[in-house]
Amino acid sequence: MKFERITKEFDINKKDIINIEVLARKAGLYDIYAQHYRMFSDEAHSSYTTLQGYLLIDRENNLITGIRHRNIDNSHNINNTLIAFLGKAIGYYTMYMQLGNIEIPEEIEKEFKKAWII
Amino acid sequence: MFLLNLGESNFDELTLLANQCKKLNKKQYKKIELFGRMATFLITNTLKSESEEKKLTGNQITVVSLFIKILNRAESIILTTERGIEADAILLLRGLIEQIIMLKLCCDDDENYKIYVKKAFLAQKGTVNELLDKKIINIKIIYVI
Repeated sequence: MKFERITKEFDINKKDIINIEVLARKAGLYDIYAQHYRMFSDEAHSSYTTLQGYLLIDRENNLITGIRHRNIDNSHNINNTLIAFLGKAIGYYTMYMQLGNIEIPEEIEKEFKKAWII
Repeated sequence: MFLLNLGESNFDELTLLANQCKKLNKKQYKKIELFGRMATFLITNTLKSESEEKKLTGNQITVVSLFIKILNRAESIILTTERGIEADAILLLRGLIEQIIMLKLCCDDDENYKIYVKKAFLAQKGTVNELLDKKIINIKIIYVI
């Protein structure tokens, strides 16, 4: 019943299935999406996980003697990208809500200008 | 009322998390703490601005809910990187960027929230249809949903 109500209200058809790339182009953020695509694509993801470990092989007897894991700490890059995107989200939100007459206190605004967000 | 219910979730935890994380630099720590303070300020103000006389529009509600979703996701990314589960953190980042694209679209035009509703609805309907095809759920249960 709920489905029927929503379909009538928003005129939803099967043709309305929208790809995220199309939406990114519409929002003007396609460059950023394409820049980080390698990180998100499944192929890059699988190769990343296989790079984390390698096999130790005894070639004379054709035996796998062990699996060693590489200790690659990629948390620094992930946190940096997270900060960049979070800053953008807060920037968009403040710009949108400023139109609704919400005043930002000067202290926070100064700190934001220092951090190159506004 | 809808927004007040959303406001009960602890979006102030971003600053608390930044204090506990050891993998963050000084710069990263400072920025995340600032983001947390700014986000709490913005959301509390939007909650205050909603009253019986001045109700928020559909687009404004979607923008606020998307923003809270993004904050929750950021918390989970920080936690997963702290525990060393980087493969999952990258997957979470992918979802975060998709949500930011939707946020930007909703900020640009007041009618764009309909795209978000349509997308969410079609995803929901798709999963229900798949479950029906595999005979995991009965038709009776759909009426409950």
